[in-house]
Amino acid sequence: MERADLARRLGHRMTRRSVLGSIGLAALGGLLAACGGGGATPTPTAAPATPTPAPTPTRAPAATPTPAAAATPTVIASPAAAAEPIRIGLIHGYTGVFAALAENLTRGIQLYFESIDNAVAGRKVVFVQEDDASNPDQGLTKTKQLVERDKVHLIIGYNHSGVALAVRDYIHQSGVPTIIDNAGAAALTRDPARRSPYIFRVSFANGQYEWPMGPYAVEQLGYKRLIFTASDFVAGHEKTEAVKKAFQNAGGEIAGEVYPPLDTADFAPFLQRIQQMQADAVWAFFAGADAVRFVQQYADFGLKDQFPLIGVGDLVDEAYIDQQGDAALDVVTSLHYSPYIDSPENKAFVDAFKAKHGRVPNQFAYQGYIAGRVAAEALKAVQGKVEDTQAFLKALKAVQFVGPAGPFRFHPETQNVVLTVYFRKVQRLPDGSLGNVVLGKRENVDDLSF
Amino acid sequence: MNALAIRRQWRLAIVAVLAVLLVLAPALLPTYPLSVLTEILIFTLFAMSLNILLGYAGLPSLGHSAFFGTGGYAVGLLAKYYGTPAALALVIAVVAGILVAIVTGPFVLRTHGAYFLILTLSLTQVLFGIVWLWRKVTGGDDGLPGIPSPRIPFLVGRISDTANFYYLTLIVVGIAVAAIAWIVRSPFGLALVGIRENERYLEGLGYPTWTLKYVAYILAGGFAALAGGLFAYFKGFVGPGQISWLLAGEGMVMVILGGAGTFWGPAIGALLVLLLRYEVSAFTQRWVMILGIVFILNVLLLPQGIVRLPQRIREIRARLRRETTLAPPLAEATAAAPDRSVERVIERS
Amino acid sequence: MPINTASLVIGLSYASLLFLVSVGLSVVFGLMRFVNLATGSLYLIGGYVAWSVARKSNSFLLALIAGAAAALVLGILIERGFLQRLHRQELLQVALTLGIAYIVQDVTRWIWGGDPLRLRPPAVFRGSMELFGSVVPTYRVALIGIGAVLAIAVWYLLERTKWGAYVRAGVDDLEMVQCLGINARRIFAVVFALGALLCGLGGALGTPVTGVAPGTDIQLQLMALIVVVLGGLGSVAGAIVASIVVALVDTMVRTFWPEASFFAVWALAAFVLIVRPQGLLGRTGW
Repeated sequence: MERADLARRLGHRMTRRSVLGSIGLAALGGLLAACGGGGATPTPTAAPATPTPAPTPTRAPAATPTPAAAATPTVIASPAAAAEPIRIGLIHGYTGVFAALAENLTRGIQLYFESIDNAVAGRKVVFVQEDDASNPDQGLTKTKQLVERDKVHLIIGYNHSGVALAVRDYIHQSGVPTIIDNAGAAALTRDPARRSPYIFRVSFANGQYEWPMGPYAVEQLGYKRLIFTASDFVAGHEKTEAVKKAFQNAGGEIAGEVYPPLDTADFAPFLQRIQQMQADAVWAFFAGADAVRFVQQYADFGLKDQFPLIGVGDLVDEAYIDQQGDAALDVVTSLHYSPYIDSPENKAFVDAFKAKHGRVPNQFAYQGYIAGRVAAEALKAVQGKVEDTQAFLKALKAVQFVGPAGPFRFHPETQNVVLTVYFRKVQRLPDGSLGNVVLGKRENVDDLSF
Repeated sequence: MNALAIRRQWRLAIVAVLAVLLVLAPALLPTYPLSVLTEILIFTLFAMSLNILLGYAGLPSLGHSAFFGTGGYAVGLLAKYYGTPAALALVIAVVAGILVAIVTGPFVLRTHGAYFLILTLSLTQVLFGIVWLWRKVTGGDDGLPGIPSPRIPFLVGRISDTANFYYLTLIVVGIAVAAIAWIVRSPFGLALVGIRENERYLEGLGYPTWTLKYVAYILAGGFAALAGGLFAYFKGFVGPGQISWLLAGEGMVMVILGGAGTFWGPAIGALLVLLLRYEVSAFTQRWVMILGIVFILNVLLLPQGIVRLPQRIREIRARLRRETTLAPPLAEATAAAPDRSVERVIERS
Repeated sequence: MPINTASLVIGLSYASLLFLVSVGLSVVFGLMRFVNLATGSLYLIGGYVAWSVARKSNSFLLALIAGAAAALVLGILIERGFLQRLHRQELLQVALTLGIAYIVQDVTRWIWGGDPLRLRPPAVFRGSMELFGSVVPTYRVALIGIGAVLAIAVWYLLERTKWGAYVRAGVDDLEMVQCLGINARRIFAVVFALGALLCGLGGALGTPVTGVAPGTDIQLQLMALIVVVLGGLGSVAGAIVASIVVALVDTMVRTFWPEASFFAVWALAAFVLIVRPQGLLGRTGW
């Protein structure tokens, strides 16, 4: 009896299926139309602009190493090139947990390009902004879109290490010059097998601005025994390993290590554990919401009186230092930037940023600003002829200038920035707000130094 | 009966046209939309495998990404440590997915409904935690990048790499989808529907319902692992995001929006969600909100899934006709009534 | 290292938050079979609104009221606007509430930005105090008190009043309740609103501890699901017990074996459900 019943259902299901196919068909038609329509951007005319024409290394005279001599005689660019704008892809995780970070990076980039009226050597610069949601899968698809559909000449972006690692091979194969403005995965520049001539990094490699805190803690702060704590993910471990090694080399002793998971709502149990240890101070790396909670709860449990807190700049970022309040006071951190660096370049940057956004720029706004400047300097050096990929890469490699945080240059081998690392302490400023005041610095720190 | 035969012919014709379009797609589409289409195909397989559980057997799994990720990591680890050729690696990926299902099945099938949902979620989170923390082997949250993408040998050099991988995906997914179609139409598939509707009744009829569910769970795991393996090759890397419950949730949404328990529903759901994700986000940063609004509208307007759109339109048209004029359409409506009541019966099934 | 007062206080204060977030979900889940995946969003809204109000008014109490009220409004909107049409259609509820969660995520990012925000506890509860020889933050102790009072109130309401009897009867057999001529729809609506209110209050009370940021909703949503299912659907006592068990286990693992804390709670959930498929105090599985 049930057989008959099932057979009857089978028959009905067949009738129903007829319609399903038609929808599938309609949907596919829609896809074809949508993609085809969208894909038909400037494709046919801009064909020579595609990334992998046989590189012509002969035309390299434009590689002027010091563009500071800005009086480059503006040779009249070919009219065709002048007509078409330079397309720059901006790709960050604008949605999701890193939304604020992505926003600040983008603000920095745009601030720089606005300062040069969004034009280089007579060519307009336009941006194609894409959201990778800090998700490697989406990041790769969006990168493909930028390269294959939008035909960008240059990509600036990648705030997330996982995304940067996931797109590395594709970028290397498609040969689009790319400036990473945050993702810190050390292998991207330190590992000779993973480096790519097309990839530059203006921000940092994990560990690069962390390790100098090791010797600084021993020599300047007088801490011989440290507890290390960081979020339990790859970047957290890369950063901690670097500083631990440098600290031990300087004669320090590791008193303990605690690695709470990312997105820890309640640090109390970990703090309890730390409380039982014996040390001179605690070194910590947490970022974003974790940093706010950690610093606050560290103070709540009275640990600040027991062990001074030192660590990475993210712990007391300008974006949320006011949320932390007094809990952040006296925290000493190392970073490649502080808005309170005393230099005319920095003052100009901070003032411009404040005027536009009404707040002090943080490290990410700075990284974006530097990324924008690097791109612009290299574009200037090739007189806007970004289509000549080899010449443009050469110009990128040669970029040098004095930025808000001091001299900027790339390491010739790794194509990663050579930094000045600042040691900063949270203090109350004359206007009543909190700020990371500079205590000292260490110059010329590259990503092979640890 | 005559109408039925005509419809069946139509159906055949439509499927044939669809197949031809899919085969010709590399000639019609530029590379970027083609790679999006590749991704849609892979997610179609993933959503269809979840549909075996969710739609046919009525088992609401929120942990289906565990199989997807198992397949992906199998492929990634084999490529990284042993350099296994793709065909073999994909087979091993499927076996790995099936093994995970064989081991976890007896536990999760003790539960029902919401408890099933949470138990599958919990096990997936445990797996996610292991992958995240076992950095030496799995690369932690950075994942395993640099998985070499396989190609169909005799097409190399004749078409672009994107098109080559598209054909590879089309063949693998095509075979898998045909297998799923055969499974859900077999007496086994119909018995699963019976379990969803009334498990006790089927048990009373002497069906080994537990075994049937177990087999469905294993099959779904195998197909999802295949999709995961393909995806790892397609992206060239595998990371914990491919195990994350968020992916399982997205798969669930694809199935529900397209039409749970219908054969083509998950494919349409996959198409909708991925197109929204990639196309809308190219226009506005507010794409997350638009995605949310589309979910809600979909649920309210097409609760049976997008797959029912033609029926909905016919229903609404019939209702409108009944409301606007009186006498003649009334007869028409009553004439159409038996047909619709049949559909309603189906919808309930 | 002994299990001292401090870890107990930490665990129980966390349990208070978990209870507030999950009790509404639990009863709504059990009674109406509404799967509400926007629970975390209610927490998020409660936290954000409380933060803004506290900033403007400088009153913590006002912030709590505002946070709870905002979640209440959103809860009523969800129930009246959408969920009541989707009775007994769990899959559609999942998709719909997920859609709402997406929208709330985006709207809050739009209004409050992506930076993490933190509410300061009221002046009375700032700083630390000594309790049985351990130093603990005062606000944690206060949280335990508030959580305990609310738990008892909810338990009394549902287990000892006539109205609560209707609700519980609805959990066990909805048709029978309707046959008795009781307006089940109104009971549904009130229960849902009450749950949303508690959840928003949890968000407001929780911000001094957890802060609010994008992603807080997902975190709390997951924890609430665990607590609800572990406790057993529709059981207030279950939600209380599960909150305490989950929070204490979590705290212990974090203290003694930090590396495992990533999935300890999930392993616990899986273990309990494998041993007891209907949850700790659940009556029947469905």
